[in-house]
Amino acid sequence: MKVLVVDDEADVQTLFEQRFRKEIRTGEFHFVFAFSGEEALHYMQKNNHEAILILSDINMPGMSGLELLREIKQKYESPPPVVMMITAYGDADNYNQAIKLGADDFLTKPVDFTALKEKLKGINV
Amino acid sequence: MKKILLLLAIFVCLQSSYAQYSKADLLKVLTDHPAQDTFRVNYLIKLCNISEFLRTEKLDFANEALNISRKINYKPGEGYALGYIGFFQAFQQKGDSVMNAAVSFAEKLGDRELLGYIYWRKGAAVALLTGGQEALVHLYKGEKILEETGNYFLLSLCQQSIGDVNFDYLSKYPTALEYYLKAASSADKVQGVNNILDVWFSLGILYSAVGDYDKALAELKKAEDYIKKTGSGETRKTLLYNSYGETYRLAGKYKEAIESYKLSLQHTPPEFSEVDESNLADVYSRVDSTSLAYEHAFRAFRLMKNSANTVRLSGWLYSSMSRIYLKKNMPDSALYYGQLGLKTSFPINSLEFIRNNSEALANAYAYKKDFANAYKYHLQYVAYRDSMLSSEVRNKTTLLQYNAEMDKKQAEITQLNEQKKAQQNFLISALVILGVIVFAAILLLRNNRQKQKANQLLQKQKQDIELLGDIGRKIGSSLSVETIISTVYDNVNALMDASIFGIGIYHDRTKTIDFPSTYENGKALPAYTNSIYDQNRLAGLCYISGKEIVIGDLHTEYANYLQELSSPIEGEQPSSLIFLPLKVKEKMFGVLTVQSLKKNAYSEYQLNMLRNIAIYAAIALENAESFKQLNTTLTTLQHTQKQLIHSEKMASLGELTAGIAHEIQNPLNFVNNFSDINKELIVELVEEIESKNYDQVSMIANDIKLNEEKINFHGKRADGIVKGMLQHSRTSTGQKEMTDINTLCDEYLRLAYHGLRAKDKTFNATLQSNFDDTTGMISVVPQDIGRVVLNLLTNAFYAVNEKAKKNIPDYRPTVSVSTKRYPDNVEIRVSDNGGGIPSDIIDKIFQPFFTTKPTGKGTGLGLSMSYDIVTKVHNGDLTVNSNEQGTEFTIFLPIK
Repeated sequence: MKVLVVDDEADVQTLFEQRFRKEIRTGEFHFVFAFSGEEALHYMQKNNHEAILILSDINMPGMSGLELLREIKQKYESPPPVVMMITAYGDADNYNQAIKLGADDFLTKPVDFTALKEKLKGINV
Repeated sequence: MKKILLLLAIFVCLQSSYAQYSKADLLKVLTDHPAQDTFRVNYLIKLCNISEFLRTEKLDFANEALNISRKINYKPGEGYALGYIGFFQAFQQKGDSVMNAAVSFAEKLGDRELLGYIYWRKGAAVALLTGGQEALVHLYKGEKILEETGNYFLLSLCQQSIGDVNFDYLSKYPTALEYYLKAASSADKVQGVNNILDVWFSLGILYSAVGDYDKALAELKKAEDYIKKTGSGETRKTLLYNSYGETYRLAGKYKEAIESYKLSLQHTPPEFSEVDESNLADVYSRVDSTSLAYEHAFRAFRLMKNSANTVRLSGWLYSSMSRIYLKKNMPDSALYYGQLGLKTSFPINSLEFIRNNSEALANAYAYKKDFANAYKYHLQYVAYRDSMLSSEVRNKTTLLQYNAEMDKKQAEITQLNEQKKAQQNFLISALVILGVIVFAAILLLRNNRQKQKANQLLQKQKQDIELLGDIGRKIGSSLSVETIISTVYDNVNALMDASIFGIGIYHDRTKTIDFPSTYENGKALPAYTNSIYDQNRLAGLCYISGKEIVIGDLHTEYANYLQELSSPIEGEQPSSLIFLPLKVKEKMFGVLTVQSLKKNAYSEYQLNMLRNIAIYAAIALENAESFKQLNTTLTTLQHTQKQLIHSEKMASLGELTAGIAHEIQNPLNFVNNFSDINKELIVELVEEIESKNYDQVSMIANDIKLNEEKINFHGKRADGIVKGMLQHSRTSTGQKEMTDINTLCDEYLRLAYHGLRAKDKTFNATLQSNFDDTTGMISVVPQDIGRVVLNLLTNAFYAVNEKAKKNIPDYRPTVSVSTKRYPDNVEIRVSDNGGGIPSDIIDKIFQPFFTTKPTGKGTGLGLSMSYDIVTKVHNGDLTVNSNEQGTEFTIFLPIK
């Protein structure tokens, strides 16, 4: 399964590669990284429907994670990729807005990778 | 304006000689003399100058005079008629073409007296059309010519107008007084027909304007008696009651003022009633009769529309409206009228209107709890109140009055000297020619000696008057009670035997009169206190009654005042005593006493001098009291300001904490997860070691090391964020330390952005940073510069956010921070592509309390604090550049 991770912090790439090193090795997951909303959209256009799962930060300079979410859910209707939001803001306001825009799940930082893996595997099935 | 004087005074001419005749009598002369000759012309012109007639009637007289003059080619008649018609046009605000024609007509004719008259009329017209300063040029010309021709009647009218212009238009009270006194002295030189009544009115109004109500009422009483004696008409009565109203209003006796204004209204021709209406509006608003005040104000507004008084009245009326609305609990309307009032009062430079409107605005702002503006207008109110009523103005008027009296005395001295010379000449010739008339000679010599004595006495009095002026200045310039008392004592001692001297200050809280320092034979006695209700103490009696107590021999006279003669609290029993009340504008401040052990130690003359000194002392005490009050107000305001600065800091801290909550989660995410990974990797490492798979061991060990570095990096990042927050909340130590400017800017850029995002989820902006790697470390107070950068960024984000709300297509809110190193400076640039700062407010943005944000959103202190930090603490510079494309702030910090 191809997962697109969107976050403005470069270390996120290392973190995911380390956390999922076994899954990457076995070929269970394949990760691509984008460091802004714009970059993520660009990737989606170029490689249509390759990514089934998108994990996106909300707070990013330029296009925010919520704007990216809206774009994706409008442009890629059938079948829409699964989008999970990951953010430092765990408040109800942020959560409701993300869900309203069609987010499939909502996680808060610091990320609990054990829980994340469970969720991803659930989707895989 | 609230007085009718100037306009009427200009119309009044020859009034006194006709005052005893009725209008019908005056007109009968015209019907009796229908012939179109110079007599009729001259008579018509005289009627033009009589205040019993309406302006329109007078215009008819002038037009008839003009027609006849032209028909019979009577040039002076034509000139005088033109002068009146020109003035009438100016009164109706119809320009000055006729007036200018009259001037050139008179100049060509070469009739000096006519020319003087025309300049006087022209001056009055210019005052109505363009204002006081220009009017004076013409009036002074007129005065000079009329003085040369010796027409004291017209001269007195012209000098009266000069006084009026100085008083009404320019608020120059001392010059006004000088000219009223000149007008009085010119009027004195005219036998029978004179202008003295108007001069009394003017002096009355002037005295009330500077707060000397007793003198004002005395002048008005003279006028009232004169009017009763001569049986003058309605307009004179209007003027009289209006003046009484003014005096009572200024003295704060509103009930009496209302009565007088109402009487004035009864006698006022309809064309003038807006003045009385506006006055009634003012006094009613002061006695809380809001609905009556409202009614009169609106009547005045209606009447004012068709009046030449509009310019001069509106500032006055607006201040009353503002006061009325505030009393009706409508502060916004009060603000509106107050601002309007100020706007109309500044061009005509009326101290009184500016003062009234400022006071109204200060009260309205205070009501709205906008203390910054309230303070600003309160200061303006105090400044204008003081320049109207300050001791300086009062001293000047008093001095001028003394000057006038001195001139009179000087004239007497000169006269005496001349008489003396004549007598000496006579004596010598008598001796030479007759040689024997010894008896006559002795008689004359004795006479001569008497005159010399009188001469000496006058010289002494002149010196004393000069001394009194000096004392007034000295006493008036002290602001502490102790200095005032000792200055007064020094000066009283120089004038009379003040064996015992003291000033008692009244204290309202204890109802006592305290004598902080009393002098007996030059030595200071301990302080003591009298109750004002103590019937057996002269100080209390004097204070309660407000009347002077003068005793020449205490042992025989005490029974007039006291039940028994008690011994003094301190020192010896005196024989002569004077107690004078210290009173300003009906307010009692205490008593002044001078006592001597000798009987009948004080002459009437010394008593008079002491009365003057008591007035100076009372004014000085009043000034000291207002000064103390002002200081208290200032302290309170400074305290408020400190609190405001503190709340500005707290507000920016609040913006930060929300950003920090988010900002700290990001590094924490890495720290937690990388350390978890390392834990797993170590388990793997042990497994690989056990299976002796050393290639894997070294790879895993390397990963652990890299992860460890990341943990360390993000841990420090979190530490930095927390430290930054603590630094911001701490009061700046003011210590400069070497600081990396790029790091500082980057940190605050993120904090500001996330802070705003935390508050407003929909907000988004592109952040651009362009840091010059060579910027390096410079010595600054990091919390302070951080606060400046944060403030500029917060403003930038606010600006782009406001613009983004307008939904402009393709608009991308962008905020940039850049640094640059120059040989002697480091430059920090914060720019945004928001709506820009309007050019009309750009020079105000660094002023304290200036803000464009809605109430409650900004303290208005951010930029002013930033400016102070950069320029005062760091000797740098903070500049702004703004247009519709956005705004750029640049901070320059010197490296050394």
